[in-house]
Amino acid sequence: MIQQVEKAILEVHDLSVRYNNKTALWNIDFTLPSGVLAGVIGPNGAGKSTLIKAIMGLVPVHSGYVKLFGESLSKVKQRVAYVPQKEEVNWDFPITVQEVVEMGRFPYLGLLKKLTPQDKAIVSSAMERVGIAPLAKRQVSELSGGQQQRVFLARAIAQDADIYFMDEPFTGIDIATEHAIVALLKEMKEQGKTIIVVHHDLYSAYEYFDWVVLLNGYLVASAPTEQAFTPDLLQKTYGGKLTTLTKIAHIIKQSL
Amino acid sequence: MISDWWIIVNSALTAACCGILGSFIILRRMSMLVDAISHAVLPGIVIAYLFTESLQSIWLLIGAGLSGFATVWLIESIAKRYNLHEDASIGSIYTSMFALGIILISSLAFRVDLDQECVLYGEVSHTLFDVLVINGKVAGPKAFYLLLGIFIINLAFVLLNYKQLKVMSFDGVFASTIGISTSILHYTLMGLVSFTTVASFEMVGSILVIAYFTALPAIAYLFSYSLSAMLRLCILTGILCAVSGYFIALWWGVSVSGATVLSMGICLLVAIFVSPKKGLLKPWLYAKSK
Amino acid sequence: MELLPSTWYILISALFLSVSSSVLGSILFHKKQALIGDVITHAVLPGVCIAFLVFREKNIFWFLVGGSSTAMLATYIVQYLHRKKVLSEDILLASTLSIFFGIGVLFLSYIQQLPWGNQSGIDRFIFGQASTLSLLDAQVIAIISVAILTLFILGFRAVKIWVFDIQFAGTLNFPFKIVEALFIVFLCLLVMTGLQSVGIVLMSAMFVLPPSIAHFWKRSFTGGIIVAGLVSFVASAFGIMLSLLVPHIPTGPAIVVSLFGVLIVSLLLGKYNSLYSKLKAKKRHQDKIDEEHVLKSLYKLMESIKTETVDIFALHKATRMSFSRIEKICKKLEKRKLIKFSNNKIQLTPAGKAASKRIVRLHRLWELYLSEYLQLPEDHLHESAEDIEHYITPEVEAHLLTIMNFPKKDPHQKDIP
Repeated sequence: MIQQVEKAILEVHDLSVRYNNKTALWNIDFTLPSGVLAGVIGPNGAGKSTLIKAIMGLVPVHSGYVKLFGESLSKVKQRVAYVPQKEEVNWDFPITVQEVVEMGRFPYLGLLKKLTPQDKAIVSSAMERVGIAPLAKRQVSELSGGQQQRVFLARAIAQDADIYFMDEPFTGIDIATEHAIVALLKEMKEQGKTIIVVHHDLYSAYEYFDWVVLLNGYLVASAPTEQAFTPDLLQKTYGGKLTTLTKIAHIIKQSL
Repeated sequence: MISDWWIIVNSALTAACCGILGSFIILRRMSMLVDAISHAVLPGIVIAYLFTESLQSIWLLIGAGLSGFATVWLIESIAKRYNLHEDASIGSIYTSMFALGIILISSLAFRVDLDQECVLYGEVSHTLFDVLVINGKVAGPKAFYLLLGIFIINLAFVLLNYKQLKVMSFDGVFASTIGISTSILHYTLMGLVSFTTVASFEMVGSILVIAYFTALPAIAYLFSYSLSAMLRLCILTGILCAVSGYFIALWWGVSVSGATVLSMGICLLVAIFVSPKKGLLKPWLYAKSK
Repeated sequence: MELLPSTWYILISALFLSVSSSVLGSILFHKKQALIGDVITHAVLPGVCIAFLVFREKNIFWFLVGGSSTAMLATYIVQYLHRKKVLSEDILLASTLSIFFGIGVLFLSYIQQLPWGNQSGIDRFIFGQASTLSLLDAQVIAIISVAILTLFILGFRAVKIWVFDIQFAGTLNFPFKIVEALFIVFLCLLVMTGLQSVGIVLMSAMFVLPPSIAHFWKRSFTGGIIVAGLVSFVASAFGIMLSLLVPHIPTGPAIVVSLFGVLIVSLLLGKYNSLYSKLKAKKRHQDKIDEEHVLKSLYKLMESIKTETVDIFALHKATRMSFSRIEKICKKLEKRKLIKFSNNKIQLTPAGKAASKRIVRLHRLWELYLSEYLQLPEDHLHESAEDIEHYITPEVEAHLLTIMNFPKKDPHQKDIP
């Protein structure tokens, strides 16, 4: 069930990735319409994070290409925002919440330029929106997991991009924060942003996303949620890896 | 005495040069790479010294810069391409480079006035002999001007790239997604570390300089809540340690660099206990204040 | 050259030292703590100086006690503060080693200016000069090494669990804390004894270089230790000889540089992970691809023009490979009795026919697999199959045939031979 769309905001064309930390991606080929809140869903080791990292040019690609807004990534960098996994960041850094959110404005600034009042306004409204304005002067090291995730989200909002990629934003946070973030993402979607979220929980996925990309090393489905959530497709996604792919992957790895 | 002032000034300047770069190094968790660089610039220094016979020449900086680059590149590519754990790669490369340097020194000892001890601990008083003379007037030791130059370069690098360095050290992945060329910044930083190591070589030697690069910023880190505060505090602590180190050395008649590192050690120990962020006594102090 | 009696015990000490430092070094290597060795070697200096200040003479026993104590203290500080999460490990390692060394330098400069501060003994600890090794020193090295090896062999199983699966070790009712403590104690003692011949800075090389070299030759823990010990001894012996024969060459650096040479050779030519092994694997794979490409083209040419003989020009056109390359491959294939090759004419033997059929079969099978299981569109199949067909082993082929129920047609409706 792979539904291709006209005027795609994101086109992933026959993308293969080999062995980024033991995960491989096989011939991923899909398109996404703009203005959706999409989930990349699959079991552990399905290559979900690898997929969005490959889209962001953060891991080497074996074959295939990615287009955003019909262009290569380097031409549209400012319109794309990426939210890494929480674990990938040095949270012991001596930095306040506000300073982290301000980083979202850096792509708009020259080498030595300081933030303009307008930038500052964007930063504070971003903090306002995710509900961390009262924490602005706090150290990031003192935050809870949920608060850290909100800081990331605020930074992404401050980037004012058109398409957002988020890597597992819901791990290690409380359910209230999760719901608040989802509500915010839906609100962003209403404003015409496209949001792609890596998510591993199947049950909440149905509620959260209006488009899903089901992944299990290969692309099982890419379609509106109601159409993709069939027992058959979910079985393919979560019913274990394809033995053949695992075997071939092992042989390729040995020969490297 | 005038020369005492120069010792303190040079020592403080060394601390400042190393501290501002070291802050980014420790925040990026790459302290051991500094350990490697500081040892591995030795062959570069010796070879350059062989040709110029001076410890304050631009060739020395270039030689050291090249061997510093080569070391970082070797360590990283061996770790990545040959599947060797980074610790092992660091340990193997720097010890080998250092050994190469020592062999060069000892086998060329008859031609080179550079002894092994100086390599390891530095000798502050040496730095005072070689003075800069302008229009027949003595304008202070050459080492001072070298260190000053390095300090200005380091400061300019940090100020010009402040935002980029901050993003890269906090969140490297995000930095590359917003178009910051992290590898250029990384290698420039490492190059400057090599230059700074050489410039402070005569003052502190190749091992003690590691304390200037890591212990000093670590003290500042334990007390500061923002990067800019950390950098300022680092310079301040550096000056404090340089001054106190000098006086300890004076009173006990011991090596200035050793005494400076001792006062850094004491400061770090105190910081580890009383740091408001992570200090060992934090729970206790906190309970008391309530 | 005639060897002095002292040369013999220097060499025997080197043997002991190499083997025992390779054992401890391999443990550090596999625990990914290679740089702890670095802290220990630097942190012995203040201890040695204090011992000298207290006892006012060069006494190997007190040096051993003093140096080991400060080294253990440094190790403990690093581990304790790391556990308490005060600072990250790299900062702790770098700061501790440099501060301890700094304090050592301070003492050393103090000793230097004392009237009885004849500190030549301590100096030797810093750079190492094996030629001054006394019989007593050699005996101490031998005793400590034998102790390390005995404990290691007796406790081999426990050590192995502790090195490779510390989590599992925690669940066992075995005093692993004692293993750890003993390990650190012996590490420090060994460093102290080794300093005489190698020197402070380079003693850490004795821990890290041999296991790094072994990494390119052996995959097993025990095999790695044996290779490391062997290499370490040969390099030490070479380094010692070099420093005895050539004036102005200190022993420690000579040993380390010899080890470095071996490392470079291993990096280039080693059995595993080396440049050579990678290039070889790559070339082997490229040869396989080219051979299979030629076979497949032959099959297709014969299929399309219904002849039994193909000339090399047609093959050149079909494969777009250079003539010399085609010729080379054809000679190889002829050797394996897959083709007959003479006068630029090529004929497939029955075995060759079977082999070439197989490649075509694998290609089409994989296309079918991609289309059936991965639902790839028809125009995306060929490229992937061109790549993957070379990786499919007979086992995977059988597996593919079974899961797809021995298919007859590929997605493009071509026969699967």
